[in-house]
Amino acid sequence: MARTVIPFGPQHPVFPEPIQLKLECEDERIVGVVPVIGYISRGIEKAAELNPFRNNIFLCERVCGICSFMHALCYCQGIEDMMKVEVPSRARFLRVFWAELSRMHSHLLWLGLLADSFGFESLFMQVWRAREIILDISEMTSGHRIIQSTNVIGGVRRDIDEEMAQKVEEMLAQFKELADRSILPTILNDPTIKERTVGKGILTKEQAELLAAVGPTLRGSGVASDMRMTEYAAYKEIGFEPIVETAGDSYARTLVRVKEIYQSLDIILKALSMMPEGDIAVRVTGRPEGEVVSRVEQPRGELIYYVKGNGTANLERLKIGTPTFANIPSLLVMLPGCELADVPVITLSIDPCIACCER
Amino acid sequence: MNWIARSRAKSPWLLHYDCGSCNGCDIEILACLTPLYDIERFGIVNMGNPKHADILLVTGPANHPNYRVLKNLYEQMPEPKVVVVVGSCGCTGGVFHNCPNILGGIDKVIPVDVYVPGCAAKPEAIIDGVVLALEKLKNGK
Amino acid sequence: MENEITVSKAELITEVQKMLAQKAMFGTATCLDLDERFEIIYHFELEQGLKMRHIRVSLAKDDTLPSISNIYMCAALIENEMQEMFDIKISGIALDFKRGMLLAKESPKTPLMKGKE
Repeated sequence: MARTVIPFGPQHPVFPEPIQLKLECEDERIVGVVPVIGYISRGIEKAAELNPFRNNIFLCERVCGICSFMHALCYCQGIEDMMKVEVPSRARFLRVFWAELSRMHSHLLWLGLLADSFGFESLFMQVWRAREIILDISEMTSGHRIIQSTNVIGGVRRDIDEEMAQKVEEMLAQFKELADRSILPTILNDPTIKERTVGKGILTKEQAELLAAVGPTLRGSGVASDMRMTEYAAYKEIGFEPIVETAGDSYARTLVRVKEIYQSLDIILKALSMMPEGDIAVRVTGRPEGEVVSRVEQPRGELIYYVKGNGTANLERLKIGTPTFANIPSLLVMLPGCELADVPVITLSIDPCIACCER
Repeated sequence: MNWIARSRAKSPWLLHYDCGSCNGCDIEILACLTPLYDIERFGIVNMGNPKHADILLVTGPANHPNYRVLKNLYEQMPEPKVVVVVGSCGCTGGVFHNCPNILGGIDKVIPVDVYVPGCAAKPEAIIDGVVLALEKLKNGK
Repeated sequence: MENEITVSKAELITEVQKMLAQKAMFGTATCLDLDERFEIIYHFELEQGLKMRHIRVSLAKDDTLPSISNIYMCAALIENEMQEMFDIKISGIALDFKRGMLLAKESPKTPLMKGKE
């Protein structure tokens, strides 16, 4: 049969950002995919060598606006590790608080976009309505809706007092009520969602391991791998169990993320109740020297920072390994064999973040 | 003012293009469409087609790989048109000013009418910027 | 760094095959420009990501590095990126974008090389 190549993107309604997939089709069936990236590449790794190392936090936060807190956290942890800084334990709990808050907003954002991709407009609106509560908490505690910017080397910039913590708990209860009523039952029971996602874009456990998938994409294929198991920040005290689904299809990945929203909610409440009193930052002097690899779990998966300092105010090299970059090879395995109309849903099921991917 | 000019200012259609921002402003633009801010109640609709659009909403700094796409989109839009840049990096290059793959602000590529600063710009600020752009549309520039 | 081994260019492929036999997952790779030579560090993950193993290879500036993308297909993207950002030659990448993956024609060439600022 004759093969047609269909360019999917770069400006496609399901992606807020530009990426192109060249789909090779036989009739309606996809037989091959070539990704074309590079539309929004900026060259952040070079700029990180030109800026003083303390200013790099602001640059790292803007690798990606959705998971900006995790980028700054990963960078700060790397520098702290290199300079042998002990972060106060209150700061570690506060870091967990904001990290889980941004995980919740990122997963909700993704869930809305997924609903939009198969035309479930009302779910999209409901999810984004619930997400505004999370953004309000973020604005109340950090001063900004999405780019919290509370990390500094040696701790955090802002504290949460008793009154604010109580307000956060009230707002989270309000969120949980809304999610229990209008989001969770829809995801679990609605036949249209299952029709579009169950059995679509299957990634087996072996493939996921070989192709080095990360995050919910990997956990949806039955591999219990989560960087929070390495017990950075305060995850050791709070305790953590990864959420795993075994089916490996788009629905499994959806379930992993939806369950993680609830898990993050529990972690936030635990972090607030277990938070010890004390300082929120230590003063850090000196300049980083040596090399270190720092890893955190971003909403989309594992984030790797390789930092090399040479004893001056500027870094020698900063390498940012992002989850979407690691998940693209898995996408190339999921797509062949599916139908053209399923491409948007399957592509979204890895939660692509192109700003992260191209840096 | 004839009825076409009046309707244009009453129900402007937007085209959003991401030129290489961090995503922060893009999700805030999307948030404008959702129940809390809901700009559709003012007749503002987000379009995917440049030939239907009155207002071009650009996020992020101009960069080497896609400044041509941006120019192309701008040229395809019918007159009168206004360009609103959202976010500090789109205004001047901002935090990305020393990245090697960046040209600078959007005004290096196409003429800009309204600058909305902020990193990331809040939905209120974005709506404010669009309303400023409406004034320009009303006066026929 | 912890768990780091330094290998020569000739041993790289056998070392990476050993990692595959241990069911290690590929993390990412970092290239460093050390003025007179390149250094490439491959980051692998063992035990569901709890442990890391780094393989460091040193390479003369005019030498060619063999691609590991025939063992770990997912390494092709990062090898393309290294090839674009540094003036490094890598042979046999499974999916070769010929230095056009992230950078456009007008972009500055090999921006991460030292002495380019």
